[in-house]
Amino acid sequence: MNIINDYVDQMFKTVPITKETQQLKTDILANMEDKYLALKEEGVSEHEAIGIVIAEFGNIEELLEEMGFSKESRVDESIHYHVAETEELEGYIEAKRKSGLNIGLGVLSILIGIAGLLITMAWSNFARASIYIGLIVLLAFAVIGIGLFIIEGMKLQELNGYHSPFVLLPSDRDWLEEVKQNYKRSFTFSIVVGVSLCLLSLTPLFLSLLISQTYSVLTGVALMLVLAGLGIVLFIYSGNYWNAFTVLLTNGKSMDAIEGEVKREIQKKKANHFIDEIYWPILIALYFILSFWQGGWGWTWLIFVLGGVLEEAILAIFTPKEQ
Amino acid sequence: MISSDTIRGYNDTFLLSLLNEGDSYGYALSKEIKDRTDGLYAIKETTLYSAFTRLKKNGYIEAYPGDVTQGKKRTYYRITADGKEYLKEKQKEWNITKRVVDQLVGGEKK
Repeated sequence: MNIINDYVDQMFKTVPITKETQQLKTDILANMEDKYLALKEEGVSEHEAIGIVIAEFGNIEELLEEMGFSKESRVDESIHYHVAETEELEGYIEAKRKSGLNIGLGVLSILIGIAGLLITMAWSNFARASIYIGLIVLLAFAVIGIGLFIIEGMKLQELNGYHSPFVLLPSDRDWLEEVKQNYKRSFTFSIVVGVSLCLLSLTPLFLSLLISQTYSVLTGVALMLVLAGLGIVLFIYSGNYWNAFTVLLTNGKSMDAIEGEVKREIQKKKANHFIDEIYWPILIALYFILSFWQGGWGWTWLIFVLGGVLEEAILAIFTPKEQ
Repeated sequence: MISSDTIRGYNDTFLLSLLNEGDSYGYALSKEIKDRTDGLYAIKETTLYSAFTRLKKNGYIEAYPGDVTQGKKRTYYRITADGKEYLKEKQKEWNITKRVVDQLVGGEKK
């Protein structure tokens, strides 16, 4: 029995560990054990039974190819990459969806706060007490909004793992593409409604300008803020959800491509490091030296224009092309 | 024993055909194949699980965790409506294939 166990371990040694491959290994091992026991019961000798069971294991490459892991992709062990599980992907999408909603609501909350202040001011003839009340309303809503931003900002940092290449299995890629495709219509619809709300938000403002009283203009602006805020919630929410799929599908690579992609990412980071830590500081120093020394304030700003163009060139040279 | 090249295209259909009689798991299916063919065909483990993967991908079967028996938790498989549809097509195709091969390779002139 141990021989069978060792054999399967050996066969699965180079296979990336995911929930799927773990289950596969367990299932295959269980089958082989059952087969072995059945053979022994039939009176086959232990040696012979093990021989038959192992002979009937087959060729692991056949199975791995079907699952989207091919041989070349499992050679270099120094390259680290992450194989995404279906549950994790679902978790990421759900988190992005929620954060989109919360950030949108945060913006809306702050806008409602400002609208509240404007309205209390407008309808109380700027009485001091009412302005205080308005300010308290603004403060309360602003606290809610900023609180939401901070919470979501912290959460999003944890999700950054998917912003660099990882392994996306073919079955998960198909699934993501399908969900994204299904969401496309709702996404377009949300954007259209969002834009409409933002445009529509100008109506109360125009109407209030017609009446042309201070209180009416303030009310108009308040209504505009709330309507535009609703539109913004739709933008941010659907945009975040949509973006989640785009991020996963762009950074999710097949088992064959992952090694090249990870190497490429490392070089890209090096190039970016050079640009941020060495290239721009030198240019800024150069700018000040030339400006003071030559008094060339009129033309030295051109350094930044040239620097920008050169940056692109440097990045293009140091970042290998996508295969 | 039979050459596995010849039979390769039929593994998926064998499994669908057996699952059409009821849900089952890996070892039971490979045993059933061996028994029904009087030991003429033994499906390899990797062939079996390649077929499961393919069938799942195509939506012809579904996997679910079964009860624990003899201390092992097995993955069970069940045929889907699409799988049944596909099986019917394959059965028709087989009847034609059988006639074609028999008439050309059968060795008896009619």
